[in-house]
Amino acid sequence: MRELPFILRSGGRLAEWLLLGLLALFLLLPLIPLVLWSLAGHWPWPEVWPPQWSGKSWAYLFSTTGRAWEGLLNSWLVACLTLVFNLLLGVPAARTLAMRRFRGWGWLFGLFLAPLFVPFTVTVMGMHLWMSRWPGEFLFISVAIAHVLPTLPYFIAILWYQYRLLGGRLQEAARTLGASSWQIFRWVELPLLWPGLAMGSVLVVLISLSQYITTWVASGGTLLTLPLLMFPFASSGKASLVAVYSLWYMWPVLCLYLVYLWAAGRTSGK
Amino acid sequence: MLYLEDVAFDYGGHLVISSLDLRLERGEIFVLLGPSGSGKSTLLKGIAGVLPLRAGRLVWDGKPGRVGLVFQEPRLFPHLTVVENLAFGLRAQRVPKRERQRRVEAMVETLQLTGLEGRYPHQLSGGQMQRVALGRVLVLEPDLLLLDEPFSSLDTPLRVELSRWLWKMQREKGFTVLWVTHLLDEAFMVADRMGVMMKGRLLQVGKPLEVYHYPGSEQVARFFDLPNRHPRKRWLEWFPELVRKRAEGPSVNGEVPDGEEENEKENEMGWLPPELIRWQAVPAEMQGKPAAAVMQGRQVPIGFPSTRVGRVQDDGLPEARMLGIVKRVRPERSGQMVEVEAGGVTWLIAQRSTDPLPESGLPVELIIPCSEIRWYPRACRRRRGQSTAMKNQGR
Repeated sequence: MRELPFILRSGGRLAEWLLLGLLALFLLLPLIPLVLWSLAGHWPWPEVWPPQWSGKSWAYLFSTTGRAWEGLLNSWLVACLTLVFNLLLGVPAARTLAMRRFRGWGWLFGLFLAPLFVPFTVTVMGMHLWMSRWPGEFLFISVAIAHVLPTLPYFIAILWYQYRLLGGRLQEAARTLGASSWQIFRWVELPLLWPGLAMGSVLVVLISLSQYITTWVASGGTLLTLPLLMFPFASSGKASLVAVYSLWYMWPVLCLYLVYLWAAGRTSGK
Repeated sequence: MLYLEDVAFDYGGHLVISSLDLRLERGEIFVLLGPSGSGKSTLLKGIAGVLPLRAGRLVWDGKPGRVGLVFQEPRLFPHLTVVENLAFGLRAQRVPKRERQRRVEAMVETLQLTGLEGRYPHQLSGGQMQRVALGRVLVLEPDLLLLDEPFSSLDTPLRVELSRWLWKMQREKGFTVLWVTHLLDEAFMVADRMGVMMKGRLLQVGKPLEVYHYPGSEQVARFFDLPNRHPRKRWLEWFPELVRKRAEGPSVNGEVPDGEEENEKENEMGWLPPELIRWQAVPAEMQGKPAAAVMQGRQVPIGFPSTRVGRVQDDGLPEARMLGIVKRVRPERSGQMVEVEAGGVTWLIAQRSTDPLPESGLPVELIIPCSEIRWYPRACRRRRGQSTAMKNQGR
């Protein structure tokens, strides 16, 4: 009878691992067909396995026409600019919404979240008509500004919640110790907001990287990011090339995610 | 050192403090007492500059001093170690690194936190956290230390220990302290002067015993929960001769002096410390009579259970007596508290733990020294500085 609780505890742990394993499988399983497709010369239905293997799609990706590095660089440059704009706009907005109460607070909060509900294609079209008059050097900036529309609401929502959890007591204590507003932000708020800031930043980058319509409309199709390079192949059914571009798109994202997990693991140890 | 002249502060859009005057002397510990919501914390935050001054002014003698504020909860920065927390203010004020290190090391030793320097707040006990919170402010060497119920969340032995430690440090370093608390024992342990604050107003200021024994109003008396507290009319109903003769000061030929009549009108309330009232068992011949019967000047046979029989009054006047029934005896830290129902009210009599205990239901005779009644006004009189009740006492 004494062994029963042990068995139950072990059984519970086993169920936990089983669940985690299933979840991991659910997330990783789609990668397997992607890898197979990227190396498949020809894979007709209903074949379970590609009858023919080929590296042509990978060769195409890294050819001049494939524009692998150009697409990757453009995507990440725009994503980084989008993140910068989110930080500059989102942090003060989240802070104000969390720390202060004023008339029209609800309306303002709703306004910040509006892009999630209002079809932003229309807004982006309007922005395009205005941005198309900008000099070509501002192409990346104009696309990044367009990417702010779908990313800012998430960023503000995450950060607002983190600020609410933080409260104002520690900042008050810091102020009584003689710290300036900037010192309070750097030494108190930033380190404590780091989990939310990191998660929000990762989300902004991921959303920005995945934007197709927004990039296409904002740049008039002139700025070639990975989604823009990939989409024509997807719509014409060239699965092998889509797979190759998807894997090429995914590897830096995976690296980013691993860096985030590592950093999160380090800070949670404190 | 610091004079608050007619200051007003608001908090959360409401005016919490209006028209408050307070003077803090250099090197003193001023304890501010009051119920929750009276504005004590708002006042501290206002002095510390966390809240803006809505009206009035803060005037320093000489150049403005350094102010440090310790909150009720430790508010340590959870991502910083003990040493980093202690050094935070020094770093913010750009004190050179070496000097910072020296002061922090000295403070760690003073706070008896040696060995805990690298720990994070969640790895400390409640008392250790509060010491770090104190040290974080003390390391800045403030001229005025503001304490907002710093030990209220700690258990009694720790609270007493830290209060004593802080009092000792204050005596050594000589900084001024404005200490907010709602705990009377803590206040009496440390205060040089005391103030009572209610609903944003400072009702009374004075020395601790003076404020306690001669409250400035019924509000203050109620806050202290002073026992055996009755209106003057009631006292007169019970003991008309004895109360009138010992109204406010020494009588002349048995008459109340002219000037004292005015004090009688102002000081409409009176209370009697429970340790001054005595009881004795009702003599056999008195049993059966109504409990509310009042006796004056009766000699009591020796041998019956009683407290301090035979005490001689200084002024030679007989003591008032009242028959009652013991309702309850409850233990206190310093002895026992006997509750006696007499004259339609409940009287509290404090006893030492070595005194004989009456049983519940025992008929007793209360011996009430009317000359010891502390008189005070019902409503607060608007005077600055001095306790008005004390002013009117002929002591």
